[in-house]
Amino acid sequence: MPEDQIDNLESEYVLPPYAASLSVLGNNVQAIEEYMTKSSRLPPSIQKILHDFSTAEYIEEKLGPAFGLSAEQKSRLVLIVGSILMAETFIGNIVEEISGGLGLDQNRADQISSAIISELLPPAMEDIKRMHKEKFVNVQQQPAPRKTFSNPGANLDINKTNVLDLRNRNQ
Amino acid sequence: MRNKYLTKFLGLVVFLAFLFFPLESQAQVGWALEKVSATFFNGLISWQLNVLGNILAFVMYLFDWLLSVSVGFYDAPVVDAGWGIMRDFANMFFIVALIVMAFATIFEVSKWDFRSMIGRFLVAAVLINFSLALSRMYLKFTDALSQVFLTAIGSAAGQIGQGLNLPAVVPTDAGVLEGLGSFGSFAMVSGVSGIFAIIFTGGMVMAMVTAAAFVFVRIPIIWLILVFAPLAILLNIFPGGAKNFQNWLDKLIGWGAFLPIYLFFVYFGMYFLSRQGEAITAIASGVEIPGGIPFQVAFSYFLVWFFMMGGLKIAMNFSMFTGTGVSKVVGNAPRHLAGTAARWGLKKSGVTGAWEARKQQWKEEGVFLGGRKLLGGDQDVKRREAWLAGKMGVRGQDLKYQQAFVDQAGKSYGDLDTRYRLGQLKEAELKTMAASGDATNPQVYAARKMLAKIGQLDDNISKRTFSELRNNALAQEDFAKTASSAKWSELETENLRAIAQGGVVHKRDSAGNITATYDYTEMGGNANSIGARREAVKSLKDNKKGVAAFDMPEFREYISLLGGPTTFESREFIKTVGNLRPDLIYDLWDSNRTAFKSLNSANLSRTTMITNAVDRADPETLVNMPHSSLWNTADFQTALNNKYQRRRTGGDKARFKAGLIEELAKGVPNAPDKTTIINGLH
Repeated sequence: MPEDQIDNLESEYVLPPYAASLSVLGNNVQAIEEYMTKSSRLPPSIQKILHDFSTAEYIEEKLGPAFGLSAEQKSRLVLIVGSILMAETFIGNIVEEISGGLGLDQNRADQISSAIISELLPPAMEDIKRMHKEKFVNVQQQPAPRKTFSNPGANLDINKTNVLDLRNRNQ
Repeated sequence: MRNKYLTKFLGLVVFLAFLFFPLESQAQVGWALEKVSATFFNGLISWQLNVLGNILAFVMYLFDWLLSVSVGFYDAPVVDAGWGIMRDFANMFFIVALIVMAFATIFEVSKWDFRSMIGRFLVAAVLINFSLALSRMYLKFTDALSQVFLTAIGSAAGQIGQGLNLPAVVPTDAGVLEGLGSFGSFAMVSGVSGIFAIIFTGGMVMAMVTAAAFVFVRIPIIWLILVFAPLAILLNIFPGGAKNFQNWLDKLIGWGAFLPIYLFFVYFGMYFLSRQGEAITAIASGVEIPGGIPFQVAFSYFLVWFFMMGGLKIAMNFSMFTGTGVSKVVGNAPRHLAGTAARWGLKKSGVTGAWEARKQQWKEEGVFLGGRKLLGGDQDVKRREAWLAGKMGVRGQDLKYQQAFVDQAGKSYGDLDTRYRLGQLKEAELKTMAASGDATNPQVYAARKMLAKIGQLDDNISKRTFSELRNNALAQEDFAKTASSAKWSELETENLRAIAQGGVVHKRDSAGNITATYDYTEMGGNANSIGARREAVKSLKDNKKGVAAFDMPEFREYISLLGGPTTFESREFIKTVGNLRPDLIYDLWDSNRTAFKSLNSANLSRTTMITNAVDRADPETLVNMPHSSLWNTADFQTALNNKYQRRRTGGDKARFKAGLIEELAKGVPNAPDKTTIINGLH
């Protein structure tokens, strides 16, 4: 998710993954059209979770209070779920995605991902598995490269003190 | 003049005096006068009896001879020659019959068309050429019956002569007259008995002459009947000629049956005459009637008259001259017999009912072969009549014709509907039927209407149907109503708009490229299409995508089509359109505030009208509002944002946004553009 698009996230109450994903695209008509087209091709079970407002309610009203997530974290979590549903992010990396995207430790990320997989995604799990198998067939055999919102350059040992990693809030 | 009457009167008195004067009075008259007068009158009576006797003898011989020649007389060469001429003449008329049938079928004149005439035509073609043989066969059959009686009777003249006992009737001075042979000889008879003898003999002559006359005239009549057989059968092909054929058949059967029936009565009379002694003696032995004639003899005369004259009358009545002639009995017998024999079984098996239903259907709808109408039915006739009457300028007939077509198709449609509901008819079959011909064919039209009902109407069927029904306003409207009930099936919104406009509408993709063109210009210039177009307009008002695409001229056209802005249908239409297109309502009102006053009676500003519409609208209506004329305007975006801001909680706002986005995902035009505006709501 491009950094500039994150600013478009709803701050008060999360949107369903579909609306949230469109929302972060702002005025980019072409990107919106592409996203709409792509999502319209998804299996109905996946589309339901992607579009349904109950997904937003689940994250907002259940996961958020349960794990003490901030508005921004909830918004990011919605986007991660949307990304998994759209098969843009491999479901096997959900823990890493949550951990990195929300800036949470591995344990909490694991709990959140377990809750999502066991409570939110089951109706579409078979379709998700099939889609991910088709798309990430090689990835399944070896761990997928970690895909986070963090700056890849932050891990490099180059002028580390002179570079301010804006994504690292702990700095 | 008076003298003439006086003479006649005196003559009658003298005659009666001689007739009824008591015999005793004769003694008081002079012997000479008595002798002279007796001799004169007895001579006169004897002479009359002599003449009558000769006539009777001749007629009896003639009758005897006629009976013998009445059998087999029809093999005369004149009959063959005459029949041949008539047959050739009738064969010529088959060509005429074919032409008549062809024209009647084209113009659907049911009485004369192929369906009505072909059966009789084929039968006639065979019968004409076999008419002589068949008629002769029948006559031979009657001859066989006649022969039985003729053989039994033997010499009718001899039998009658023997039975009448003429010597007992005519007591003469000369003694006994021996049979008919001596009947003609001159003899003196007594007065009173002589008069009775004249009465009896005269009656016999009349009876025998009549009988002989009938037997005689039967010969040329049957010749004529045989000769005219081909013509009569030919006439039976044509509806008006059936009567003539029936008349001919009556005559053939009647005159053929006459002889055996008459001979039966003659035979019966002869038999009774030969046995009269046994019957009469027992009841009236020794009884005499005035003149000294034994009652038995008088009775035998009565018996002969009765059988000769009565038998003649009964035979004629039985065979021809009454309404219940032989032809009717014979003609109906096979039908009655067959009916009686088969009725029970057929009725029980349901064949009768099914066959009657099938006949009724053929009668009403005509005969089809391979899905194509071979022959028209009553419904076609009704339509044709109404059509012709319309062409002749009869008021209201054009609509009557149209209604007749719709009614006819309605029956077929009902059948198709039932079969489809029961799963006996598949869509593919319906499509085949719908494509099998022109929509002016009621069956084809019914199939297309059925497709419209089940939502299987496509652009091709729609366009063809409206075009083919261009002359039938009621059918077009009927078709449009059915299509409307199924929301015009698979038709694109642009297609429906093209129908409503009676024009050309292009379908474009998001880039503005034309992807399809719908051309219904034929409907635009056709007054018969107004009803159908109105139906399309009424359907369009509930089609948000269609309403969103309206422009000013189109909207104005629809209002005009619905009867102007003040009609009920127009007001309903404007109200519905106004929910989605406040811009259009305002602009039309603004274009002519007098004519379209009813569109904005409160004189609201454009901004207010748009704001009110946005506030009223549900998410579906909102997203379907057009992008260029509403979503992309400041008035709309302000109104939308105000609506969003009125949501109290974050959850409500999120729901509002999500609701709009969800609606946009349903294939709304300009969805990405509208999404950017939704994304801008804060």
